[in-house]
Amino acid sequence: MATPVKVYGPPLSTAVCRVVACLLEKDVEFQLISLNMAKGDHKKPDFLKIQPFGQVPAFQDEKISLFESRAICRYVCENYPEKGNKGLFGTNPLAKASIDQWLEAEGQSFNPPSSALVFQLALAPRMNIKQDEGVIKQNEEKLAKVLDVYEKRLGESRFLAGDEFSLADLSHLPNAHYLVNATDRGEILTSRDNVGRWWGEISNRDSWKKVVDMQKQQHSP
Amino acid sequence: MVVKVYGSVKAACPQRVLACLLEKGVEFEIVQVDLDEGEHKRPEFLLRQPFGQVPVIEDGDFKLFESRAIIRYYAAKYANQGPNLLGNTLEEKALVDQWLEVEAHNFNDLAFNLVLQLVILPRMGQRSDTALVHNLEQKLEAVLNIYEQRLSKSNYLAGDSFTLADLSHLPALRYLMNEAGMAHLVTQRKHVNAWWDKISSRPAWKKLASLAH
Repeated sequence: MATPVKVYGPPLSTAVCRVVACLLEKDVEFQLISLNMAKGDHKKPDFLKIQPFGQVPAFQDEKISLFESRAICRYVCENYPEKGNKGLFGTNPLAKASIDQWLEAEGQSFNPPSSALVFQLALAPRMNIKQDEGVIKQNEEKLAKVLDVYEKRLGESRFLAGDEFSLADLSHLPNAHYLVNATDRGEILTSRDNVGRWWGEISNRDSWKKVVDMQKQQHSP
Repeated sequence: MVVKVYGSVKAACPQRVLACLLEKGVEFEIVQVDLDEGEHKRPEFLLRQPFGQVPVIEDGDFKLFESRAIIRYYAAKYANQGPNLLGNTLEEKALVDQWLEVEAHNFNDLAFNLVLQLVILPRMGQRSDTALVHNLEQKLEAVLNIYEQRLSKSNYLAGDSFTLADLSHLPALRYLMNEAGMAHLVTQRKHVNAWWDKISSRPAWKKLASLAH
């Protein structure tokens, strides 16, 4: 039996969840080694050896040590093509190109404003950091424009890259989940017909439900 | 079939794609999109690229946007033509991906915002934010310190050969070092400087730079 792969980082981290969701979709056994970021675990020399930018997650298997959640996800899909969801990263170059396109759109267009909103609305209050109304408004407007594009796309296509659920959709789950469940701005997603329909489908996948359970178990009261 | 690249030869993201196509010897045709005139926000263009950004490619019936998705596609499609920009084994490819993601998420925003403040806003007659520039510069210095460490152990970012990961940095680095006046960020770091010299001396890059600037 293969050794479980290792993922380093706290289960509440969006980027860590991106990788965990992928491992669950692909049915790849893993061990989550949590880090206490409040105590600065991610800035300690031992961790910096495997992630020199001091960010989470980091990933290790028998062959490689990797960082950057989207690179880790691509590697997991390529390294285990026959396991779990075989089409997660496409099964031909054209399908893969479409998935890469929407994975890049997530990283470049969806992630920045949604991360900013999650930080301002869900995390800052918990960390006793003052919210910045200007930043909130600016990012709400940015995200609304991005979701207008998604609304049109998802009216033409069941999932972002095509007819099948892919890494491109998966990559949106962590931030979208926080927006819908940890802020009062969830309607930015749920009030749009097609985006709402898509969100309902992707968040109901067994793999994502397992991630949410994992987060609930770790959540400190 | 000639690949049509919609964009401006001077813009950083189209340059990422053009550099890749030049490296791989893939024939292309640049279809100018006038960003100053707002052509990229007009309905006809939005049909090609719904976010209103450049570049987007058309290769027969095949269309693709997001420069890093486009370069991944062509580097794989023409893996056996020109230099190997992707690595051979799965592990090598994963390292290329890793550093391409680093460029996208740790380097690009800082570089882009510095160029915006130091080059683009002044051109538009607007004042730049000195405090913001200082902040961005400090953050980019910290990132380049990590690159310095990496490049002291490895000739190129992902390993011993030039790959997409290095290529992806060329457009923004050139702007930073020239129009933005930030060359010291590179020249003050021994290994980053040597890496920059190597990657910017490549014939494909020199050809593009002469077409563009």
